[in-house]
Amino acid sequence: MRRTSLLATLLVAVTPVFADDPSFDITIKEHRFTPSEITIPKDTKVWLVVINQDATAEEFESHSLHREKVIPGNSRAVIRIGPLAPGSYEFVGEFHEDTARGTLIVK
Amino acid sequence: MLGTAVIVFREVLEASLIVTLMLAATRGMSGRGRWIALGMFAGIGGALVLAVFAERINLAIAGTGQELLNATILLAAVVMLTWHLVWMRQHAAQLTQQIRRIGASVVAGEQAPTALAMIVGLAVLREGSELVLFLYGIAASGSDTGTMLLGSLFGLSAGILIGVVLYFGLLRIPVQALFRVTGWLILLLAAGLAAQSVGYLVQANLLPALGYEIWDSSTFLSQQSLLGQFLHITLGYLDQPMGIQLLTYALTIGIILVLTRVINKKPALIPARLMITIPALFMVLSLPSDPAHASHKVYSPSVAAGEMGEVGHRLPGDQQDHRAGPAIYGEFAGSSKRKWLYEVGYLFGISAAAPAGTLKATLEYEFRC
Repeated sequence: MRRTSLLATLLVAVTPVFADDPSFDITIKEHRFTPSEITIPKDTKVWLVVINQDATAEEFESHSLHREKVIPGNSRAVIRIGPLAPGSYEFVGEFHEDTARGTLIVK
Repeated sequence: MLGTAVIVFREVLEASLIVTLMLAATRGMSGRGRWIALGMFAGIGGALVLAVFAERINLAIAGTGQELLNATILLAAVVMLTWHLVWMRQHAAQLTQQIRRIGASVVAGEQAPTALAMIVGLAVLREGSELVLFLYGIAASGSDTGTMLLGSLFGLSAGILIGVVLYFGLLRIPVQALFRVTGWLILLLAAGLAAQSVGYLVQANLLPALGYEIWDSSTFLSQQSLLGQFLHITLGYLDQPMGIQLLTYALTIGIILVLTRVINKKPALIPARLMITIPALFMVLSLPSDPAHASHKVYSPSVAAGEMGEVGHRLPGDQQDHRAGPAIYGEFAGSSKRKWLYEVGYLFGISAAAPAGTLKATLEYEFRC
């Protein structure tokens, strides 16, 4: 019964996905992010659409944003972030960390 | 080449540490080598399949397929580790005795549990598919494939080496204490994996973060450093934990401790019960409620109930009956004139006179005439 009540707790937590939140595109090409600096509004949920134009896979990773997602070659992934407090948050492409770096600025 | 080695090392380390911890935890049991090999092959096979379908998984379920898959794999591993702990609790004493009598060789009659293969398989599967994608990328790019492969080999060996060091370190523990130590390590490993799992559920927008950064110890011990990563995998160390991850960590420890005792017919200890009750309460209280979208409404949790004795005749502490536990209550869609109300919960006794566990369920029909 304990398990049942925990399960119920999890179900309650499911909030509907709102498709009308603002979205921002980031392109990966030759293991670099373009744009490498993105500004998003504070306290708002946004979508990051990461488009990988390289043939190789990349892992979008940001420790401070608590996000990590593998994006296979020539494909895209959506990553939901926010609502965030103002500040700047670093992100990297873990598979090519020396070139794939970017900053998310929240204002 | 060094870059490749570092990435492969990071991906391999988690599986390596989990496998070696499980090897130490099943010392002396027959069949463990077979189960572990089976788990590894199944994990590698599964990782290849996942890598092939990676793009489709990414697009599934409104773009959250990868997060949900990761969360599921991790949660399945937590369940299997729990099963292993419950099983060990029943067998550890016997095993210890037999190993002491006949040395470190295989103990006849004690068959390693099947959960072992699942744990190993899930650990390999999780990081394996990322590794396959990464290595495939190297092969596809064509340039200097040789040095990259050499780097991968380095990374792979280094990851396995750390696992081997951990294994022999654990084996130095005397047999009487070995299963107790590996038991605690597996408990913390499970809690850490559960916390990682809810991290993915937050990323998939299914759970609230409850605070993005409860503390920041990254300058003191970065999770990216070797020691930080080692502690992250084995103990669940997080340098910037989310609130829900801390709650999950405590909740998992509490649930496993209570389960292993209750299944072995021993009353659960009060600290373990509180480790379930308090985080569960926090979680439910802080969940966003969205009654407009629900077919029936669910309200905040209740914590019931204690009796201190009659007014003026307060009972001594050891006779007071206090119980607390997570419960939910709400109402079914009804009209303004009549409705059904329900309440379901599980209460742990938190004083000596209270029963160890109470299932509480009420159904109420309200009407106006």
